[in-house]
Amino acid sequence: MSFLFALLRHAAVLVAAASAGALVAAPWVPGGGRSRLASAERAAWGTAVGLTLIAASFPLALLLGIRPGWVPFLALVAAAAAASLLRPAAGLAAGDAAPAAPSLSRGTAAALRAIAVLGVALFALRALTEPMWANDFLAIWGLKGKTIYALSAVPDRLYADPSLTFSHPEYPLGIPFLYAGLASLAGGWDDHAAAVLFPIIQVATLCGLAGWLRRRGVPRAVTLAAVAVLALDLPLYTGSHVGLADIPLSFFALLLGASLSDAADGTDAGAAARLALASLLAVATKNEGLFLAAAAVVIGLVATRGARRRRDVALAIVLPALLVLVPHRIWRGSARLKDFDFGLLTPSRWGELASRIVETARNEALHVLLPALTIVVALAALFALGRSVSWADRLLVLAACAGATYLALPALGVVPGHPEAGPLFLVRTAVARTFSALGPLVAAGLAGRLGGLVTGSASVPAVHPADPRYIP
Amino acid sequence: MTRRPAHAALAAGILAAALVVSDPPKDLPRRVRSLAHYASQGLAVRRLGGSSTDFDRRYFILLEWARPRIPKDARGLAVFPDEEIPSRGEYLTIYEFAPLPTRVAPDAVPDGWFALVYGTRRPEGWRVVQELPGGALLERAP
Repeated sequence: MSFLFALLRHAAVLVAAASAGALVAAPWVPGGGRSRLASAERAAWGTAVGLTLIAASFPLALLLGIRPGWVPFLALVAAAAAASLLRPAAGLAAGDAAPAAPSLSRGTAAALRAIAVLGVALFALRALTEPMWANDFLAIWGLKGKTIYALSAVPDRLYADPSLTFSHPEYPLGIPFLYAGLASLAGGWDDHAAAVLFPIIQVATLCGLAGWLRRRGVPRAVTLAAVAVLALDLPLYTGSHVGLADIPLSFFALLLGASLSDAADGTDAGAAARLALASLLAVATKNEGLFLAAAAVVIGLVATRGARRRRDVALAIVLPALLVLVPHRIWRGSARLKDFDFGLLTPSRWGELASRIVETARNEALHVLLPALTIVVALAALFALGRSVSWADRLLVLAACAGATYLALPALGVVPGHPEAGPLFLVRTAVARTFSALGPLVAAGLAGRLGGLVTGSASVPAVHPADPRYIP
Repeated sequence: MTRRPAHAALAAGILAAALVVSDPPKDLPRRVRSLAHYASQGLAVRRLGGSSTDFDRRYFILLEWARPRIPKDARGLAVFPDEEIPSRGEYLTIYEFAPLPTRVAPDAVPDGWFALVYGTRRPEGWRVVQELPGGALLERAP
């Protein structure tokens, strides 16, 4: 079958799921009722809901003993849509405003949009040139997805076969279920056409960034600049990340940070529900997502005022995480993180740990920091030039927690110094990649801090969307 | 009005340039040509022309020849490359035959498994089911 036909079929499934997701998400995403389902922020949350429906329909079908495909998917969509329609569509949130910022020239706006489109086109070309080929796709995410799809089951050997330990049995199954669900809806396993998922996630991430920043009052110039720069984030949106969990996680991390900040501020009635979905998606995608959710709980508890709201924020993160973790734990038991030796944290091995930290830091300076020095300096400059804005700083704190952990973890890598494992291996293969997944979170945080610069004030004056000056 | 917005715009420009330079798009013409050339071909041919098989494309041709010829009742497949293949070759092999349990160069082959040998070597105790381009599919001799 020709690539173009398969590509269109996969894209159609994903767009249909995202559209259904936008309908389902309407009551929980601010933006002026169901008549404006196509707003940027709703497009992002709609995509997140759509991906959730695709991925969840597969294990649901297995549990019910029916064939995965359109029947369980449409049943799930119908149930979610019914639950959604019972709630009134979300109106305008407290922060649902745009600033009275200096006008942005048409030429500048068009140029920034063109850069963003160029970034998307560049990534789409890299993502779609060939069937997904990255090692981690073949060894982990694709292998599990293909096996689960072909057998309509999760075979024990994915967990019990010692020859498959490279496929990381301890990883969550969200992405494999997403692949299996997509294949069941698109009519077959096609590891080339399915790559269209990744540019679509990139577009959803850019929409989520733009929509959230605009709702939070960041001027259009800063928002468009943030979108343009993020679209060119080639360390994240690169061909070798296609098929892996990092690009989906980067999207879910942005949603997690944005909804956490909204829930902490109580911007609207749907913030807690969005936070819950983002937590579920992050935890179901990668173990880093579990860490991000845990860090979000701590940040939420510190940032939120009022005992009741604080409790709601914590529950919105913890309960969905448990919904993923508990069944997995009951079903599969606990699984050791095989890349790490946590015994190094015991006092008797602190000496060994210290030497590993030195080795790790040296390798990170050489292999991660040095090649990205210009990027790091530019990010530091943008941080310093911005102004402290609590709702944006929370995202940067979340990213900083994750970044610090990503830097520290290779010191616990197994077999120090071995070319194929240990700190050097993890530094070379994992640190830059996991860091890149923080890109959208950092972009949102920095743009929020820079928002006040254009208007000349730290707290951005708002224009209600009903105001003629409001530009959506 | 301070100069901060201008400095921020400059920093954002430098950041964007640094992000692009980190993975310069010099591969684009090759990608366009590859896409145009392979788009009308089948999935296996597209993978054959891609990055995952560049360690040894003849090896992948053998895998693709063998795939439809493995009997339905096979419990698994042991694949023996003629020399050590990189880990990505091992991952590709196991992925290609999934969901069939597959191991690359195992020390022992479980009962009911077939073997796929790359190269001219034909191990003792195994019977050739079919000669294939670049190797052969074998089953345990009775």
